Amino acid sequence: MSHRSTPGNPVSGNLIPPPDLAPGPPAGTTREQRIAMWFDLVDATDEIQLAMLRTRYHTEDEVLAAYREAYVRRVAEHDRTAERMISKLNYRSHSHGG
Amino acid sequence: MAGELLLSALRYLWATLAALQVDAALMGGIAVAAWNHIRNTRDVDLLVGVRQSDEDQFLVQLKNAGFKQLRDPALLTIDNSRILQLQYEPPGKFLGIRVDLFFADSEYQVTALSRRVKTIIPGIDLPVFMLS
Repeated sequence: MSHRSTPGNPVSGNLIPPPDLAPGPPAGTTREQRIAMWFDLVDATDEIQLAMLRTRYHTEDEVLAAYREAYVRRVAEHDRTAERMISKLNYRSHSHGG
Repeated sequence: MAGELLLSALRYLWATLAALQVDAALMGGIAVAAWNHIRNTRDVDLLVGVRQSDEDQFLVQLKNAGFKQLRDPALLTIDNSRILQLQYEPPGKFLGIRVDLFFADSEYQVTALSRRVKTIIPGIDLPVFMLS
């Protein structure tokens, strides 16, 4: 599968489009349903990640150790995102005279 | 698996904050999901109303409750915003879940906290509040 590069096409050249272009939940879902969907997404991606790790490691202990390492890396990325989020919040705060 | 761990961490954190009578609101991935943008995030982020004069006692209470301090000094300050980064490992589980508590320091954040909205999260008995 490939995508052709076309002017103005934000996903051109990418096999996976950026998250902002991902379809949202179905219309009419409640907040509670959307939170439940988030938990489902987390568990589903976990299953994929664990299945991948099980192809690389022999024992379940090795799999879980690799999973923990991946979680630490993910949290480190989260820290960088959080720093940007704080700066945005502070910008809004100043913009609102807070 | 991670969903269950995150839910356990959030459930325990929320009950702990309720017992301490600390105002809190979900932000980050779970709140963003509630507002229609479902993202694959794996931590718990809350905005909390804790005065600077109470922060030491607050930290002691959280540590006594089983939350692990990740930094020394405990609080990280970015652009005058205080953040307490903790880890909580649900009993019998293999992974410590990251918990970030952002302190409502600015007027904007205090207002946001006061406008939090109540929601129900399956698996958590207490009503949970999130940023609106």
